[in-house]
Amino acid sequence: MKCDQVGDDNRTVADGVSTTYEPWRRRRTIAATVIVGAAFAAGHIGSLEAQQWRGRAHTRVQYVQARTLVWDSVAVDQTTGDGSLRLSGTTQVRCAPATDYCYFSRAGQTRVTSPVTQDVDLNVWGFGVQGLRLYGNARFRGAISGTDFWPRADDHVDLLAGYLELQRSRYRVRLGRDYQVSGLGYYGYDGGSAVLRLRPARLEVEAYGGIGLERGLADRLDSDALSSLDEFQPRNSNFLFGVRASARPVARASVEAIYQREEERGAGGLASERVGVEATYTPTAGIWLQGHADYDLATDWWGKAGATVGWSVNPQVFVEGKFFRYRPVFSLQTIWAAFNPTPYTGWGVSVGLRPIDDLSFSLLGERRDYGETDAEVPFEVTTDRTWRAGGSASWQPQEKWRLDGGYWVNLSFGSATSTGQFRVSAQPLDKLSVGGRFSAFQQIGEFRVGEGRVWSVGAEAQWDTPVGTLWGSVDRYRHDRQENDDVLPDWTQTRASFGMSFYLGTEPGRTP
Amino acid sequence: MKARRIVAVSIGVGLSVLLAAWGWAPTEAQSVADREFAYPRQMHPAGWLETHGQEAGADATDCAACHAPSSCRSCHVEPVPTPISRMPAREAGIPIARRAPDYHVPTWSENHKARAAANTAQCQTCHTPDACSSCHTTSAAAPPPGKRTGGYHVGNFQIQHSAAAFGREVECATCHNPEAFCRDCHVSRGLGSEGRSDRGFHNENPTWLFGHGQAARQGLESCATCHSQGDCLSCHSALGGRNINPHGPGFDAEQLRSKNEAMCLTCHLSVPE
Repeated sequence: MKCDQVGDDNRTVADGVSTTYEPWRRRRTIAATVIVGAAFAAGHIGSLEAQQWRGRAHTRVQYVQARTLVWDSVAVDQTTGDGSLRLSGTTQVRCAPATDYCYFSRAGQTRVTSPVTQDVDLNVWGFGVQGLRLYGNARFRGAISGTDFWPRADDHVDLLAGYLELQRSRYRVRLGRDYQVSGLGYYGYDGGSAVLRLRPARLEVEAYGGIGLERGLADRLDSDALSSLDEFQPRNSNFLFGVRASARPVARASVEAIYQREEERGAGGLASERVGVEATYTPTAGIWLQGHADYDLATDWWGKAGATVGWSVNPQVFVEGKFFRYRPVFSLQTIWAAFNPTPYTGWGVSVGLRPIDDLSFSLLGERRDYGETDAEVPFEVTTDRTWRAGGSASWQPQEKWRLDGGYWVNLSFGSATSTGQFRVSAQPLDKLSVGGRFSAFQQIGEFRVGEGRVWSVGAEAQWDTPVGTLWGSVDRYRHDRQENDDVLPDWTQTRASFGMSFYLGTEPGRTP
Repeated sequence: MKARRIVAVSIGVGLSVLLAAWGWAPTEAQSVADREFAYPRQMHPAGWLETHGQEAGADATDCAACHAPSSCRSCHVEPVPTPISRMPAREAGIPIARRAPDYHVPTWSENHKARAAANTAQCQTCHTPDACSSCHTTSAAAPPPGKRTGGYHVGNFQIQHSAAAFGREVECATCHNPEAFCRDCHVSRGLGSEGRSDRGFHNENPTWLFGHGQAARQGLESCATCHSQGDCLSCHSALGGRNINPHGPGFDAEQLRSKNEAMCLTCHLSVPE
């Protein structure tokens, strides 16, 4: 019945993402891998002095099955009904006037890929200067087999950090590629930073800056990694700089404030300008208060904010309440800020109970309310209020046996979900743990599985060796689809992961 | 004589049982070094664990009256705080029962952000950066019994990430770039837009395009993980689009113009006055 398939799987992938094979990039990957490997090997055979370097390698290999969503067509004379929306069997199709075909989306063929991620970090010190250290952290990506539909699989090398550091008790200086993790998020930069510590006042001040990397990415704004922005990609990268200060004014309180600004090199246009503050206070044993807020000076909007108060009644009971709000942050180099994203505010309560040492329960409830959008229309209304609730229980009758289970429900437009999970784990040997897991979920609404259900069963194992950790897992998912789910993705698939993490060089007594 | 001995032994045993039941047994002859002063019940006031750093930092000599540097190292990791290294050496100190502070409740992994940022130094007295990277990494290994480490996301989180992302349970963009990570994958999987507004997925909802405004303002981050800016400007632009105004309540054109005029010129011939 279905004819003239205009969107087969291969074309979808080829059109959707840049998967062009680039020999130079592959050569660069191989060269970098060889260099890092040689460095490790050289150190391992003792060419470097003891206490001089330490490296860590973390490898993850996955087997991923997925069914893409493809665009298909059917001849007009094989549909029923009239107008722009008709039926082909039970499938709703779209028909344009004066055309021979109607179009619809459907689950495509099962595709398989095996993405590999290799993280390597290396610390080198002992250069004859106290506190001098060289640090590098790189991520290598690729795919052993299959097409590269895993995100970022076509970007084979990222330098996440690489700097020279001079660390002393009162100050710290870094030069190179570094990143700043704060209440504003994770931002990288190629430049430097200086930290000054004023110990009697328990004050720490840091200034940092350089050529900025994009948020959540180890690449600059004008790099090929963001070429899909097309005409909206700025020609230049950004300058990024900021100042951060943290203090403990009294023994039970701590506070941090940060200011950060990004602006385009050359053009001078502002990308973002934000401030953030985070604070904690422990008035007495068993009670804690903490809060955070950030403000966008570029748009004049409050961003995220939250306040939490917790009370550990006794070792068996705790209660925690929180208030929060959220508005996403967008760079002024995009159009999104002009679309006025609507914030939400909310509150939540969580309770934990441990009636006996082996058994614990926790319950969580949360409500969110969106602000006025001024965009409601009678025929397509989303919800302004959402609810989340869930509970979990853990029972560890013996040191080497543990059962965990939980259920979560989310009542909201777009993210409505109902999920149940159960897990049994055991430690048959001192360094070996194994487990089995079962789950079922239903997600209703946008891009979800509709009213069908997805069931899964899986197994996992982890082995801690003297030099590192090996782990693996495999899960099988089965999507029980409803009759009218033809146009939704099919989530029936198998997934497996294998990983290993190990240290080389000077071992401080811990394994990953 | 025999009866007196029986009575005496009975009284002694009875008293011992009563005393043991009361919490003290005369046979419990422990040396000071063997006794665990399970903090903070006995020697220190409530809340001591969270605040002892200031007092110990001022003068650790008092600490050394009972504790050895090794006592402190049962919690503090390398590099240990300076006061510990300055403590007078002694062969053995009263062991310190290691325990987490009160605020390390089961929800701590989701709520530690503010404290970790505001007082990183306090985290570092017990945790090394490895403790952070055991979650903030690509690993999705399931943790063994009794351990909470093993990856930020649960195994195969990607299968179910859409609900968490749309509902903003987490701020995805902190670690994942929406354009290079999210949209790249969504497009390659057939879920993302490829420039045609008439074939958006959206559960094949025929009226979606005309009523999407509310959902878009509530979940604009999610829109941007599938749609390019060009998709939206095909309608929401005064330059070549259908001139449908996307600006919402409280839109301050002057504020944005003063910060970045180029943003206005994406859709308008001139910047607003």
